[in-house]
Amino acid sequence: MLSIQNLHAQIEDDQKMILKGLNLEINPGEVHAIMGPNGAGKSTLGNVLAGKDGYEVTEGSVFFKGEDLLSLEVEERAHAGLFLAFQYPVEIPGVQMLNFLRTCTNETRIARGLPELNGMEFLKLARAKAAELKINPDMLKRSVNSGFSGGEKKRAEILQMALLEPQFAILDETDSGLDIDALRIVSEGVNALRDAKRSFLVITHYQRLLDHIKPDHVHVLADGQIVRSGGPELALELEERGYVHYEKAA
Amino acid sequence: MTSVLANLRQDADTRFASLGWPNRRVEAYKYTDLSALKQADFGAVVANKAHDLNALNGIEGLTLTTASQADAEVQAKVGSLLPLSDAVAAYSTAHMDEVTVLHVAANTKIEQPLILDHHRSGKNASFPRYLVILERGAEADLVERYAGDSEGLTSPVVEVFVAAGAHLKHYRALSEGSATTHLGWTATELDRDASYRHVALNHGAALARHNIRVTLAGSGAHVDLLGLHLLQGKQSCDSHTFIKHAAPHTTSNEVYKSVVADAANSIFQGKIYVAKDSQKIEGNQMSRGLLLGPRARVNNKPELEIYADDVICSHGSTVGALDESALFYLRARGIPAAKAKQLMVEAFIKEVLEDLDGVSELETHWKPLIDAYLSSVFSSAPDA
Ligand SMILES: Nc1ncnc2c1ncn2[C@@H]1O[C@H](COP(=O)(O)OP(=O)(O)O)[C@@H](O)[C@H]1O
Ligand SMILES: [Mg+2]
Repeated sequence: MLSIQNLHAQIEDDQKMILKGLNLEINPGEVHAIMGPNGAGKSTLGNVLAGKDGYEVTEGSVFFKGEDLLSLEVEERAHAGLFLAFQYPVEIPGVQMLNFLRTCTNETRIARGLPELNGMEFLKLARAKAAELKINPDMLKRSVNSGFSGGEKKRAEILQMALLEPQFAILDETDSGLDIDALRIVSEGVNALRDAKRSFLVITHYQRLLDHIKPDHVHVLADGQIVRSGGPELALELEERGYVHYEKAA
Repeated sequence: MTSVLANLRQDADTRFASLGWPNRRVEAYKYTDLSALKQADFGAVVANKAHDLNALNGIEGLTLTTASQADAEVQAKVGSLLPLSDAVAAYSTAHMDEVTVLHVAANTKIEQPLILDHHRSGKNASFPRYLVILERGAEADLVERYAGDSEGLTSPVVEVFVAAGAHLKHYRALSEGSATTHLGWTATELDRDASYRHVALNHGAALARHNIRVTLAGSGAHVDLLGLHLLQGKQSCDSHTFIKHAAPHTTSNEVYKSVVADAANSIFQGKIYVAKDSQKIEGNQMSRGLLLGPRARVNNKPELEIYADDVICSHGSTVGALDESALFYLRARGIPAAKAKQLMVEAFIKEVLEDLDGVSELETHWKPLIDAYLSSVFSSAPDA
């Protein structure tokens, strides 16, 4: 599904190297968790995979379903089935949530050769998915993420994921800012999408999310590299011992 | 033409002869240099009337006439709101032919919009001139449109009197071709408790200058000035507004937004003036520019001139490009770049148009213009 080899990426502006030879293989159906200290490069990895401007890949490769991911435009990556749930979802005043959701759903469907949904069909679908995530339907009338609470923003990210049905989703600290109930709802939303063909990369700071979304593999990212990999037990160990050790190594 | 009008014309001619076309040293034309018009050849002066004026005949409560046919009181209003110290006002007045008068009777509400539609072509100059009077308690919608592909000059003047308790909504769309010079004036006076909403769409012409002057002359009067500049190519458009709070308890609200592509140039100059004894005033102004390319330019110049002390006035002005992080967010959700930009520009201009859902002029006439602008900007310049 996703194959990252020796990935080096730097910030374009100051040429600061953030990812320093990262390797990762994710197979269909697998859930991988990436944990690590602040500033390790976790969000940078998500941004580089999604195609955000401002980063320069200086070495290495990324193949997604056998295709050279880094040569695709941002929207093409989304159409190919990549989804990034943002650590900090962007507020877009004036663009109505419902209109945004419908546009991204239909653009993705067109790109995948599926028929567009009309206004009524889409409204029904969006309402049903929103209800599953306990999202107030009024939220669909508001501007994208504008004035949403932290928890609302994260739930809206999962709503978008549910509508776009990606094959590979990166969840960047989707658990931060969620209370226990919201965490459960969001996790259920993610688990509902889990299947043998869909993979996830769950970036988190805290083990508690992994109680809800059970990973197959856990990795520690420190100073731009995966420094350790293991099973779910690694997350428990990190919870206990913290990242101090890795921060020093960095 | 009656002697009153002939005299006014003569006056204006004399004024313009001494003023000439202003260059950048004239403060009001700092960003729009008209001195090159000295050499311009606009061709012959042609008739100034709107098409389809006849459609206004027979509307109940409306008297459609000319200034020459009107009584002395009406004639005296012609030119009375227009400062001939402004070169454009003087030039247009010096060339005015007949003045079309739209007179709405007291306490009458006219449902159908009063449409002044100008579709011009050829190399010639036109000086449409209107006087719009709403008597006490009257209500009407005025629509002004300028379209066509003239290679000449369109220089309209509209003077508006809104009497006590009367309400006028005025929609002005400029969509003339890329060879037209458009120099327009709108001057309005509001009496007690009157309201006036002017909404301007500036989308056409090579060089456009629109002066708006609103005088809040009676207590309780309110004005909304809302404007959009949608520019591309080498267009230059200057909206120059002046709101005069000449009476206490008057309020004004002004929002101008510019979307500027290619090497186009947008100028907004807006002054709020509060006279010495005008207390309890509220005046808010906001101007925002959105640059869609590295060669696009926006000059916004807000100005407050306040001589009273019990006043709440604010102004804000911003200029910037599209928010890159929002653009990335939309694209990361599968929305192609051009469409994502279009969504964001639509959101940007919505603030001007948001209260206007259901206004038929906007739906039937403006929306196609706005859509055409967006699709031409975002199909020809994908990485603007
Ligand atoms: N666009 C950027 N411009 C400058 N520095 C950046 C940018 N993005 C990330 N960084 C820097 O890169 C490092 C890694 O950041 P990030 O990937 O956000 O870490 P994490 O998500 O693991 O906390 C940090 O030092 C951060 O300041
Ligand atoms: Mg991060």
